Amino acid sequence: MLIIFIRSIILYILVLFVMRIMGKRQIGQLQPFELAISIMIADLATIPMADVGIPIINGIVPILGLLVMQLLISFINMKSLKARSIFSGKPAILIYRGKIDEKTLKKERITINELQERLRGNNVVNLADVEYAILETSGQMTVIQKPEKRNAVPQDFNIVPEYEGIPYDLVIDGQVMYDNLSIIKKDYKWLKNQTKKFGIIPEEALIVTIDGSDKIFCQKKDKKAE
Amino acid sequence: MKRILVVISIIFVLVISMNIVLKKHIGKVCNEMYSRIDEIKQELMKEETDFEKVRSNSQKMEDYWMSQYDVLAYYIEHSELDKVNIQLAGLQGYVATEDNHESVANLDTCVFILQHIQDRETLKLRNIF
Repeated sequence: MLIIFIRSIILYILVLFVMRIMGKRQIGQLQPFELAISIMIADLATIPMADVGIPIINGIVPILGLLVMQLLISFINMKSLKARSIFSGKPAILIYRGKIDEKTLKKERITINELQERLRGNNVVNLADVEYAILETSGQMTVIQKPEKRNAVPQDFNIVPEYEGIPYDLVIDGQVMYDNLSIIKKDYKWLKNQTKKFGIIPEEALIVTIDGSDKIFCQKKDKKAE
Repeated sequence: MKRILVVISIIFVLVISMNIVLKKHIGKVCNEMYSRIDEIKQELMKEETDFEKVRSNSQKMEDYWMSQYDVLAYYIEHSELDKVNIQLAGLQGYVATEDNHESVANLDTCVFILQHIQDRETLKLRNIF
């Protein structure tokens, strides 16, 4: 029993390491070859996990083989447009300038009902509001609404909002983020002064952030939650 | 980009070199087993078999196999290795009862299993497909 337990930990670490090398993608955004490899890696890892008669290397080597294939295909995809269309396919325009492309719909084997379902998934309930609907290679759908139907943006009212930038985490779980402090050209002394206004020191904070307009958000750690 | 090529190269080199080393090891162990089996078989085929010698040699052979078993188990399926163990255990019984015919048959089976294990680890189209 302990053997299986240890094997599962070893294989889990290996799969984690391999997924990490494969790169950052969410499941819903995987290309077909990436999805195939992810499923196969999961299956390959479970075989030696459950059967102690199979050497663990019989799980490790095929997983490494799949990693090599994934890296190789990614590399080829980066270098060649043609290879990209072979391995990943091309996006398909299902609705072009407000009109449903029946031929493409049939080619992608998508029914009208499924199209409507996917539009609703993109918060579009009326087909007539859609200018373009693009089926991406990952299977997700991108919807571009007609100008008069899309959400208003400040530009529509001739408003030019101030630049906001991104918020930076300065303290997470009591740990001071010195990298982010140096990015915003501040130091620990400045941070301590800021958190003093909230009655705490940086190490007592659950989170401290600063946004583009230099506004600080600070929350103290809840001692009861620790 | 470079990182990808480096990782791919490292994995290739690792797998290929491991394959060469492990193949050499299994070859060495099997060849040693074949020569020991042959020695025992020669003795068993004689008119006047010295069963003490056979007993001693078969015990030494088993000890050698068990000493190599742990390393072999790292890369060969245990069920395959256990087949050899079963044959060696059976051999002890046949030698104890001084049964030449069964002992020789048992040794031949052992050779077949070892050849099968070696064959399985060889890079062949048959093994790939």
